[in-house]
Order: sequence, then structure tokens, then C-alpha cells
Amino acid sequence: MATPSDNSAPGPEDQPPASGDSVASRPRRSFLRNAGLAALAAGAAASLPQVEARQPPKGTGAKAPSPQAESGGMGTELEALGGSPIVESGYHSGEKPLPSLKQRILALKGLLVEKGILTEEKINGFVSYYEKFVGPHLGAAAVAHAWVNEEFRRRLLDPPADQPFMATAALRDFLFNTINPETGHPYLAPQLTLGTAIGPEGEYLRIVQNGLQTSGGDKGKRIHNIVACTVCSCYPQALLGVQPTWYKSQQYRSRVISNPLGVVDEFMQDLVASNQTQWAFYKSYRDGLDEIRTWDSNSEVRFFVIPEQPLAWKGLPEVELRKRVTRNAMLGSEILLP
Amino acid sequence: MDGPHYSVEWVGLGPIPDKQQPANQPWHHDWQAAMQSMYAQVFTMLGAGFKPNKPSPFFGLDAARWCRETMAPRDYMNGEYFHYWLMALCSFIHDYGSAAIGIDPAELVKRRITTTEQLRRNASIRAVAYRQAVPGVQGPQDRGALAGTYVSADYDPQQVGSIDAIGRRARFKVGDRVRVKRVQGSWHTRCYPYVRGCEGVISVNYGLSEEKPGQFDGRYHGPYPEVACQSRQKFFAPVYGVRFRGVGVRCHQRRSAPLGQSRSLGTPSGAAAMNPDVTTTADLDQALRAEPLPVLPKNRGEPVFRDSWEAEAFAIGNILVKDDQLSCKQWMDLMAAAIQRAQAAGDPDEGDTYYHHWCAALESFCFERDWISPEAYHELVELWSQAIANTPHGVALSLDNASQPAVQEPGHHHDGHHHHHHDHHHHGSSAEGPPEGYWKPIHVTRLKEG
Repeated sequence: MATPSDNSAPGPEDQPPASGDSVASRPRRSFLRNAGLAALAAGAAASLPQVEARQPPKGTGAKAPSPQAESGGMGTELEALGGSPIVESGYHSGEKPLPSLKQRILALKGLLVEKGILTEEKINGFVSYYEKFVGPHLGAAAVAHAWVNEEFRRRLLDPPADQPFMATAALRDFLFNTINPETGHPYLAPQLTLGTAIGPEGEYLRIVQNGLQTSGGDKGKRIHNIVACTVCSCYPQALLGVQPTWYKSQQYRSRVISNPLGVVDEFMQDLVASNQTQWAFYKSYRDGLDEIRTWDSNSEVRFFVIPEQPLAWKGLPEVELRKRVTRNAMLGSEILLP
Repeated sequence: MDGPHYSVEWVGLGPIPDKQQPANQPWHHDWQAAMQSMYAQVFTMLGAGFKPNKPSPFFGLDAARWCRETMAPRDYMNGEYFHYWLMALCSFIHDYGSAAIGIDPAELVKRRITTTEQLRRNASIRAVAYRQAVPGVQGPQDRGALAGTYVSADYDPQQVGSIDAIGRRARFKVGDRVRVKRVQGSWHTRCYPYVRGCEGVISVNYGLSEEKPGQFDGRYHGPYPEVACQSRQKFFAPVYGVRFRGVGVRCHQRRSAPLGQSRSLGTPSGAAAMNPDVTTTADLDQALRAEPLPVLPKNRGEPVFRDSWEAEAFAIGNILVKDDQLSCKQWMDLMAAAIQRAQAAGDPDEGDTYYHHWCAALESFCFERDWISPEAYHELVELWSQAIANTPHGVALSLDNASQPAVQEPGHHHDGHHHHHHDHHHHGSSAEGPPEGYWKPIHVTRLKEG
């Protein structure tokens, strides 16, 4: 498990490109009433703070006074919006620059804890959940099983037409009943799914496969699928954990619709570096494609990819296959290299 | 998504960062992890008042989205990812903090988490967005218990009877051809701008049914956040998957060159040269220097055209630049891209396809400017092809003849838009010579005013 450093010196991750709206870890509304997140880290029962969700005052859309009254300046819409979005001429209003994002977040944390809205334990419990229990290892286990078990694969790829999210039920069966060799426990359990089928952001999943299509209307075709969320960063968290920076970046979100193959090229170039054998493998995959599909996720439907199993891996035991499935391949930004 | 959040049509942002972020490192810093944790928990707690089939207070998580996606452009564009989440939480506290969770927004300012100006400018966007209507939803009611909410009879389970009943009345089925409405506004919408106005096919009906805890039925349960988050009303609607052709959406799909064929980018050296998707101007400059555009055919200083359409294409390109529709540099870029695409597709480049590249560049330009969609354009080309097929040689071409054969009347002259479209046809071989007006330049039609 990684221990993120706490130093505030700017690093690559502080650069502007890491941007994007997100509902990165947004548990479903209906379950958190019943569950305590802190239980996961502490192993002890905990309950949500007894804060009533009071009705907002009626008739309030926003408490903002009209721009005309408040600005005292030109009174134009632009002035009210703080001036030009890029040029920092908006500082006419005397708005003082804020401290670093880190300081502001820590200040907010202090405020919420002070007011009793949250506790350190609850805040850390959530973090722990996504560091320890939920991550790409879940998706990898599902992929490895789909490779070796045709029935399971079909349940994932071809749910009944009137129950399009039923793949989740198959995933639940599998993950509840399969032991994670690293922990000795099943991959998922009720206390980890928090009242949902397979965990937050896991219910509305649509699963597709890359490479040769083995079932359905496109059987026999070679299709590459790539997953994105161009409006924010919706992501199949229940199977893959928290989104990586690249998935949330403007660079990815802006190009994946207009040039998905170029995006995969870029990922593979980085991955392969100067390895000509691997490059040739990718080229052969790419040249054989009939179609490339981009799946734009949204708040209500998430997508997940079963990558193509390299032929060289046929016959390997499932526990070995799980280790070889990468997160990027389960999103379609990369393919698996033997 | 109409604000700065929408970046699908941005170009030149550079390589995708952090492509190999380790799977065991969900966050780079623990303060980022803390932000995500606080965001999720605060907003979910606020949504805990949800009761099926009853008008409810503002959904916590949809409120989160609402606050985030009505962010002021200045704050969005100058911020990074976790700043958006902090801003959303601050905005929510500004609107509801005192009543909902007992935090005064002034406290946020005092602790330098945000500023008064930042809170105000973001609130002013929400004030505008709140008043905007969503298709299918009637305007806000100002009186009584419904004050501040929208009402839509067709999607309110109390009026329809049940959530399942709304699902059973779904309008579309798999295979239906649909067109996306051109909704536009400042509010939170998941209607991707790049498909607005575009046609697609329903590929799946995700359905709508009432959520029964512990009995997952494989369908969508709602409510539909699009309206719920900005109208604060229980609005349930079925969700569909729609499939669009890549070239039919509003950002032109550029094809990457086949691997290994990077002639147009000069000598391949390393991964960057092998990536045909040029993402920076510096790359393109270097590409142009390495392999300049083919020379414009000339004879004694005057351009040479082998057919009238070559001359017309040449004229159009020059007029566009002269009219400041685009700069010379931009035109060069378009030509370079067109040539690269052609060579990638196998053009042997024996010097006789120069004006094909020219036309391809003109086409790209029209698509980029959204003067015409690729589909409409290709329909037009089809019509012209039919007109050509229907027209004997020597008779002026007209789009009218797409559907009926042209009549050969010597001296007959069509007004308006002429366009000769020949592939490598040499007119010197024709015995009777070109008809009157053959060499008359076409009327340059502006496809769009302004």
C-alpha cells in the first residue's frame, strides 16, 4: 500500500492538467443510511453522525444577491462572474489570492471535525476502504475468470435484454465466493459492499470485451473498446477503485472522442518504449481491428472492458492470470502484452 | 455541460499525464484523499433524507454535481481537480450550510478556504442556471408547497402512479433512430455537446424500475439526476444507451496514420515521431520543415490546372484566406493534414493529386467550422454524382439533375451554382469542345453568414 507523501512542494501531480469534474467515489444514495464507513478501517461498528438532513429553506435557488447590487463596479455580467476567465484582471475587486489547495483542504477538514460533522476516523475510514479493499484486483479477478469460464463470460457480456445490468449479479456471485490469495478472504463480503450489489458505483455496469468478439451480434468481429467520461470522471469504481489521474485529465477527456485510436497509440508507445517485439504485437492487433468504440460514461451507467487474452497466456492458471491484467487494459486505453 | 468543463473539442493540450499511475496508489497526497472522503461523506449524509415517491429535499449527491458543474469559468480554468471538489462543497455550504449542516459560509472565508468574491461569482451562475428550463419540464412554481420546484406530470411517480409505471411507458425501444435535442444552458446537463443535433440508434434500454433493497433486478432505478439536482424534485425517467457513428458527431474524427508509415513526419526517431497525432504546433512546424508541401504546379510563373475544378478549388482556398476566414498558416496546416491522411491511405504521391489534397483541406475546413456536417456533405456529393451520371458530356451540370436526366440543349444555360467534377478528364480529346460558359468560374457561395 502506498504512503502518499505529505510535502507541499509542487510535483507532477500539481500541474494544471489533472482536471476534471468527478464523482470519483460517490456511494449510492440509498445505502449509506445503513452502513458505517468507519467500520471498515476500525473493524468496529460505527454509525453515521446524527445530523439531520434538514430541508433547505423554501424558494431558495441561491442566496446570491444580484450582480448589479453587489458589484459596485460596471454591474455587467462579466464583472459579476469575476472578469475574464483566463486573464487575472478580476483582481480589481481586491480579491486576495488564497493559500495552497492543500492548506485550504486541511482547513476545511479542521472545520468539519470541529463542528462535529465528521471525525478523523470517519475520514480515514473512507480513504482506507479505497486503499485496501477496492481496487483493480477485483476487476482483474473477474477478467481472469471470464477468460477461463465461458458461462461466466457470457453472463457478463450478454445480460438479458430487459435486465441490462444483470452482469452485476454474476460479478457478485463470483467475488463473494472467490478467495483472494493475498488476504485469505473472499474478494467481497457484505460489510464491504455497503448494502449494494458489489460496492459503490458498481450496480449500473455494462461490460464489453476487446479484440475478437466471442458472443452476441458482433461475434467474430475484432472490436476495440475504450472507456471515458468526458464530462467529469465517472468510472467503474466497484471493480477498479479510484480513478487514475490520466482518466480525469483534460488531455484524455478531450481526445478520446475525436481520436480514440490515437489515444491508445500514445498509451502503447509509452508502455512499449523501444521494445520492437511488443510494438509489433500491438501493431498486429491494431491492424486487425474492424471497429473502435468509445463508451462515454455518465453518472448512471459505467463501463468496464474485458481485455483480449494474449494467446501465449492460454492454459495459465487463473490465479496467475489475475496478476497479469492491468488497470489500463480494463479501460481499453491499453492492450495486454504477452 | 456547456461550460469550461466541456473539453471534448479542445486540442493541443499535450500528452496524457500519469499514464502508469500505480494501481496501489489511489491518491498522490493524503490531503487529496481527505478531500474525496469529506466530499463523498458530507454530500451523502445530506442525501440521507431521501424517501421513495415523495418530493424530497435537495439530493445530496446531485447537489454536489450541481455545485460543481455550475462553477465559474475563472475558478474552473484556474483550478485543478480537487479544487473543483473543494469549490463544490463551499458552494453548497454557501447555499444551504447553515440550515443543512450548521456551518456558516462566513466561517469558510474566515479560515481562508474560499473568498467572498469566489462564493458570490459561483452563486451568480447557479442563480442563472436555476431559472433555465429543461425540456419536458414545466417552469418553476412559485406558490405554496411547490415553491422552488419544477413539476413534470409524466415523470412524477405520484402522478403517474409508480416508478415502474413510468418505466413501462418508455418512449423508445432498441433499434429506434433518434436525434439528440439541442439543449443548451448553464445548468448541469449530461447531454454531451458533441452529440447535440446528431442522429443515433438506441442500442439498449436500461429501463426504469423501483429500487428494492436486497433485490437487484438489473434495471435502472433513478431518480434522474439531470433534473433532480437542479429542480430538487423527484423526477424519474428511463435511461437509454445511444450509439453514434464516430464521424457523425460534432468533433471531426481524425484518423491516425497506420503504424510505421511516418514519412510525413520526417525520420522516425523514438516514440514521439511514431505518434501521428501531432498535438503541438512545434511538432507540426518540425514536420513541415522536414518535408515541405509538394510544389504548386506552375508554368512560366502561372499556376497550371488540368481541369476547371482544380482552378475553382484553388480560387476558393485563396478567397477564404483573402477574406480572413483563416490565416495562411492555418491553411498550410489543413493542407499538411490532408496530404498526410492521403499518404497514410496509400497515395503514391506522383504529383497529380495536389488538388485532391486541396479539396480535402477545404472539406476539413468546412467541417471544422461546422458549416456543414460530414453526413450532409457526403449526401451532397452523392447528389452531384447522380447529376453527373444523368448529364451527357457537354451539358452544364446542375444539382437539379440528380433526380432526372439532363436534356441536351445547345446554348442552354443554368443560372446559379455550377460545379464540374471530373476525375483526371482531359478535355483536349473532345471533338466539339467545351460548351459556352465552361470556363466561367463558379459562384462562390457563402455557406453561412458571418
